Amino acid sequence: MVNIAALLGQALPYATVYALAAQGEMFLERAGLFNLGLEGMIYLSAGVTAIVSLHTGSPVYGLLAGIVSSAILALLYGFFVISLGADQAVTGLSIVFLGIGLGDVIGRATGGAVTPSIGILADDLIIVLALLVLPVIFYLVLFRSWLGYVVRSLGENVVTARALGVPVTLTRIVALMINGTLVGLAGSYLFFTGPLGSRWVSMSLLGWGWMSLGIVILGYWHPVGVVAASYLVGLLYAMRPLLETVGIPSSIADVTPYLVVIIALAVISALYEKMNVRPPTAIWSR
Amino acid sequence: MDTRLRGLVYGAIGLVLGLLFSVLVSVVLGAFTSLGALGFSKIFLSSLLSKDTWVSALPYFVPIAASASSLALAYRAGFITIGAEGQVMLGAVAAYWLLYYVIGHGGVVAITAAILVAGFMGALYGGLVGGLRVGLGVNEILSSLMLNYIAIGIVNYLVAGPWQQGGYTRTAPLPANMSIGLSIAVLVVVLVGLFLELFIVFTKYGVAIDSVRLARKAAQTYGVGVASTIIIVALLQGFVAGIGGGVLLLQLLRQLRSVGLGGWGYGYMGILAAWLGGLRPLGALAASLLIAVLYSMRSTLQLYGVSDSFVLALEAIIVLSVLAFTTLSMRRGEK
Repeated sequence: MVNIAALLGQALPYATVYALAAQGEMFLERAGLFNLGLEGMIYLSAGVTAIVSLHTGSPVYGLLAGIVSSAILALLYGFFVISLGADQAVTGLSIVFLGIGLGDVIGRATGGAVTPSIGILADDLIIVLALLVLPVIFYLVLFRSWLGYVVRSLGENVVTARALGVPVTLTRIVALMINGTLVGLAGSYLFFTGPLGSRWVSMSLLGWGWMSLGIVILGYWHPVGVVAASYLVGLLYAMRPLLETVGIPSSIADVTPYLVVIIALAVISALYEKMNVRPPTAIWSR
Repeated sequence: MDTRLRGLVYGAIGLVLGLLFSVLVSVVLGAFTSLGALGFSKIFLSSLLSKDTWVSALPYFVPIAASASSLALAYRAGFITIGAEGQVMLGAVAAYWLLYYVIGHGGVVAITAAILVAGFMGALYGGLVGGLRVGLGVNEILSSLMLNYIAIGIVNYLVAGPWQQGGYTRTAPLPANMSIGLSIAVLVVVLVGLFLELFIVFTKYGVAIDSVRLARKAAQTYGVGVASTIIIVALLQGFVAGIGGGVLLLQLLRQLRSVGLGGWGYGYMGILAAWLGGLRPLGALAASLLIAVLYSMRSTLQLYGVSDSFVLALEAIIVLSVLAFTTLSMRRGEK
């Protein structure tokens, strides 16, 4: 018999990683930019967290350093896209490679040693923050405050927004910093509590950033939707061993989350289109 | 100056400045490796200038170039797929299936058929991404990515299940008569890239593809079907990437093994090469050679204790530097 309560609990850490990264990305996309570099930022943050917490002996320093490293990549993205006017897709994709390359070099320098980890209390706090506190804050800011109008106007029509006096560049830089911070926190948290358990193993923290980008769409750019989608995908992750026990080969069980997400994307995109709910105009139009 | 020539000149200036700048950044980053800046530069340079590096790069050039030239076409249409990775993999799977399990012998006809079936498999996978976008409004970046992971799952399933041979998770190697030489492999990919370039320059689809991205309203007004253009691009993109996978199998891999979540990486490197090549198939071929050379240098660097992932970061730095300088230069050119 499957212990459903245990399964629901096992999904929490996975969901937390997704929820942090996806909400950071959602906020940025609401402000009219899309950062495809999440995968690299999470990876770099995890690598930096590993080495800093190993050398300082303090997981808190590791966590902070991870966040800073991710924020630096977000700033780099901002420099290219906002200052230079470079293409967002190619900038983001390059940041993926940069982050994975640097993150792996840095993470490997730990030699696979077990680093001190954050305690259960901090773990729980981050889970509550990601799944309960942040969605409420994002909802209030985006949909119940004038600040939300400012941010969302950038995702709809930046020319009009600028004409109405919205500080476009400043707002976007703030959004980018929020993006970098939350994605960095996701990477650090993933390193501490993810499948590796505070020990660096090269090339094994892949796919989290990409999936988070998918979750933004699955949650349709709404904080509550994004967190719900994060939990759903986290649950799928937690269910993989269960699928193997019912005779599904592990290679197929491993990709179930991706399979379900693509089907969900197909169903939900069409459904939302029918309901006339649509993404920020600047981000995605068919 | 003629605007097209102007764009080309300013683009070239940006490219050269960007490459120079990336060398600078790489040397600075090299200071953080165990070799130090000077030692790193020395080894980097000697490896770059060695003939062996270039020859050993060619097998990687094949799948990277096929991915890059096909992605250049897709990106021109504003179709930001990153699915080449999965298409390369499934192309290799399809070629293996046809040669080993259906035909069972070598020869020109069998090998040509295997390469074609690889292309069709890639087209199927690419067409799925295009169909999902046009039919259901699914974002192609995400759907193509999920399909990459599913391709990894398919390969891992086959090599640990129905196609497994012996104790390890891998298939039997293809017999010697079911393979092609390096020069033929490179030739196939270069010809395909050339075909794509001509397709863009000389057919009406070239105009349609550019207009879908740059002037969608105008395109629709003048009767360019956005949906059909995207479908054509998606199919062709997948076809070419799939061919890359087939050729890769026949020349380099010869057998399939289990893969990690990072995949083989060729399709992802193709993304960088496509942008680096200025979204032109021929440019993408040249850029792919550069990326492949860097990739093949990773084993040399590893000998000196530099992690092979460092090369990944270097590739990104080159693309970002070139991106920065071409963007600046083109902006100046437009003034």
